[in-house]
Amino acid sequence: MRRSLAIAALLLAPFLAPAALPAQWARVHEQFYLQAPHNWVFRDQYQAADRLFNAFDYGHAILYETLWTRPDAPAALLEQKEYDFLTRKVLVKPPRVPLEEAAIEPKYAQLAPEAKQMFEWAHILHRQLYDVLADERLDAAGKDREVARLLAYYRTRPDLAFSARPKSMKLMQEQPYSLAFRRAYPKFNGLIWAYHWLQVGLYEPLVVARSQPERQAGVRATVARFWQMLADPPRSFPHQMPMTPAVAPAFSARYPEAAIVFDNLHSMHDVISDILANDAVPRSRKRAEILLAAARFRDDTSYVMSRDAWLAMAGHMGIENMGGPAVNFLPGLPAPTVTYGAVMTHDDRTGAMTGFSYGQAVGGGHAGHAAPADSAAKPAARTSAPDPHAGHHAPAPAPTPAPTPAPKPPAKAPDPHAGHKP
Amino acid sequence: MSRRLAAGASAAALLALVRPAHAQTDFYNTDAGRPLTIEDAYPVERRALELQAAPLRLERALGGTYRWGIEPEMALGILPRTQVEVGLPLVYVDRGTSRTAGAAGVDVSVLHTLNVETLTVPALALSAGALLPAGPLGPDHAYGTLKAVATKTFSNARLHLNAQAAFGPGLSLASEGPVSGPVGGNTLELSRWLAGAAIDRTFPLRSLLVAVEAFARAPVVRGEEVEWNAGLGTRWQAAPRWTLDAGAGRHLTGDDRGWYVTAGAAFSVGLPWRAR
Repeated sequence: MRRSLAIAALLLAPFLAPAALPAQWARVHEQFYLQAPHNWVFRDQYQAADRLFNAFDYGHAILYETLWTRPDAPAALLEQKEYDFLTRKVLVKPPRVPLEEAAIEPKYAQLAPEAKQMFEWAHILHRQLYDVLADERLDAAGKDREVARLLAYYRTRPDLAFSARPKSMKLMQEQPYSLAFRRAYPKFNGLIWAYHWLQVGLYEPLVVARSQPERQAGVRATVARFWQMLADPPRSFPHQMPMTPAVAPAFSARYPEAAIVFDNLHSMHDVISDILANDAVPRSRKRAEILLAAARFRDDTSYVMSRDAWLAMAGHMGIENMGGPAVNFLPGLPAPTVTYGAVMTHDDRTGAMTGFSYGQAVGGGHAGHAAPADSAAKPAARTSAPDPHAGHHAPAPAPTPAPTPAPKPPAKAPDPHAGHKP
Repeated sequence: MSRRLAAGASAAALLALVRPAHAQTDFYNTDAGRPLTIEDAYPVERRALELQAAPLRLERALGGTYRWGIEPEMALGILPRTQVEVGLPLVYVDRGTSRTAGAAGVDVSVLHTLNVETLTVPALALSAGALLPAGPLGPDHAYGTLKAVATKTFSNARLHLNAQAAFGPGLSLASEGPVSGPVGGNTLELSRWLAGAAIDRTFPLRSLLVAVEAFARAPVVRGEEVEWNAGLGTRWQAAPRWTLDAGAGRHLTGDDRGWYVTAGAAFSVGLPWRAR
C-alpha cells in the first residue's frame, strides 16, 4: 500500500508541480478538413511539392519551439544548426505525410494553443486549395465553386479564421516588438519568407496553366525557383514578406479572399517570431502579446485597409523584393531594390509607399525614397487597438552570419529553368 | 478451474469495459487498446469519422487458451473536444479441446476533453462507457465505466494518467465478496477499478510514436490480488488517412500471467458538409 502511494505520488508530481506562470485554461478544439472528392489530389499529383510543405511545417514549428524554450541560446542555434538541418536534411528528404506540429513544438503549443490552432486551420485551407486547383476533373466553374465552399467552411471557425480584410503592414512590422526576428536571425527569417513565397506562389501555375502538362511543368519550375532562393542566404532570399497579389497575381485576382487570408496568415507568422525573439517582451507577457496579435488578425477592424490599397501596397513593396514572380520568371533571381528586411511605410488609405522606417532603397523604383536617419525601427503609430507594450525597444541587431554553402535539392529535382515562358 | 475457463471465454468480450477502445487516425493520439490500455486525453477531431475495420487482439492465458478478439468500431467527433464511439466486439476462444465464437456485447462510449494542455494545466478528459448485453458471449447485464484521463507533455515525452471505475449489477468499488447471481459469468474478468500511467515518445519527422505503460486493476473476484500489467506499443501514420498500430503486453501478477499482442489500422474521413 505504501509502495502504491509512493508510485502514485511520483506520477502525479509532474501534474501538480507549481509553475511560475499563472494558470491558463484553453478550450480551442481541432476540426477535420472539409470532406470532398478532391481531398489529397495535390499529394497524389504533385508529390515533390506536397512533401516540401510537410518540411515547411517542421521549419515553422522548430522555429517557435526554439525561440520559446531556448531564449538565451546563441543565434547560431537557429542560423546554423537548425538552418543546416532544415536545408540539408529535411527539405532534401521531406516527410511523407503532414507532420504533427504539436510533437515538434510542444512547449510553444502549450504557450499559445489558440494561435497554433489558427495556423493549422489556415494551413488546412492552404492544402485544400491546392487540391481543388490540381483536380483535373473540375472545370474552371467547378474550381470556383469548390474554392467558395472551402472558404465558407474556413469561416465556420470564427475563433480561428483570419480576417478576409487586408491588414496594413503596420500590424506586422511597426509594432514595438517588430523586426527582432529578422535582425537577429536573417537567414532563418529569409527561409521563412521563401517558404511563404512558395506556399502562395504555387497557386499561380495551377491557375494560369491551360492543361495538366502545363500545370505539372509550371509547378516543377516554381519549386525549382524556390531551390534557387537557397543558393546564397540571406542575399538570395526574399528581402520583404512575399505578398500574394504580387507573387501570384492571377490567383489573387480570381480568389482575393483566400489571398488576403494568406497574407494575414504569413504576417502573423512574422509577428509571433518577433514576439518570441524580442527580449523586450517579458516571458510572462508573450502569451498575452500573441493572443492580442491573433485577435487583431482575426477581427475586421484592426489595421484594415481597402483591397485597392492592399494591391497598391503590394505593388509598391516591389515584386523584385519578394523573390520575384512565381511564373514567367527569368533565369536569374531579381535584384532587390531595398536592403534586406527594410520596412517601407505606406499610406493606409491608398497603399502608396511613403518612405522607410528601417533599411533603405538600393536602386530601382525605390531609389527616390529617403531612408530614416538612424535606419532603425521606430515605435508603431498608434492605431485603433492600443498596444500594452508601446515604447518597448527591440534589441540591437545581431551581426549577420556569413553565408553558408547552398543546400542541394533532391537528386531528381528538375531543371530550374524548366517551364519558363518568355 | 472451470471458473477460470469461463473467465477466459469471456475475457475478450470484457475488454471493452477494461479497455474501452477509442479510436483516432492521428498517430499522436493514443487510444485505449490502440496500442496500449492507457490513453491520452484527446478525442478525434470534430467532424471526423474514424473507422477501425478489424483491430485485432490475441491473448494467451494460463493453460494455453488463446483468445482472438476483433472489434469493428467507429468514432465520431460529434462536438468540440467530444467523441462518441460504437464498437461490436467479436470473440473467438480456442481452449484446445473446444472452441467458442460470437459477438460479445455492444460497446458505446463518450469522451469529452475539458481543456487543451497549456504551460500550467495538463489536458484533462472524462469518459463514460457502457457494455450492453448482446450476442452469445456478451454480458448478462449492461455495465458502465467512468474514467478520468490526464496528459502532460514534456519536451521529449508525454505522460498519461488514467483512472477508471466500473459499475453495474453486483459491482461496487467497495464490494469484497464474490460475484454471483445477477452479474453472471461474463464479468468475472471485469475490474472494479483500473489505474495506470503511460509514457510515449514521438519521432515527428517519421510520424512515429512509441509508448510504454504500467497499470493495475482490481478484479472483482474475492481472493484475487490487484493485478499489475505492463505493455509497449507503437503508432505510425502510414498515410494522411491511415494509421497503423501494434502493441504487446504481459500480466505481471495474479493467477493468469499471460501475454497479449494487438494490431490495427484506422481510416478516417470527414462528415459531409454543406454551406447554409
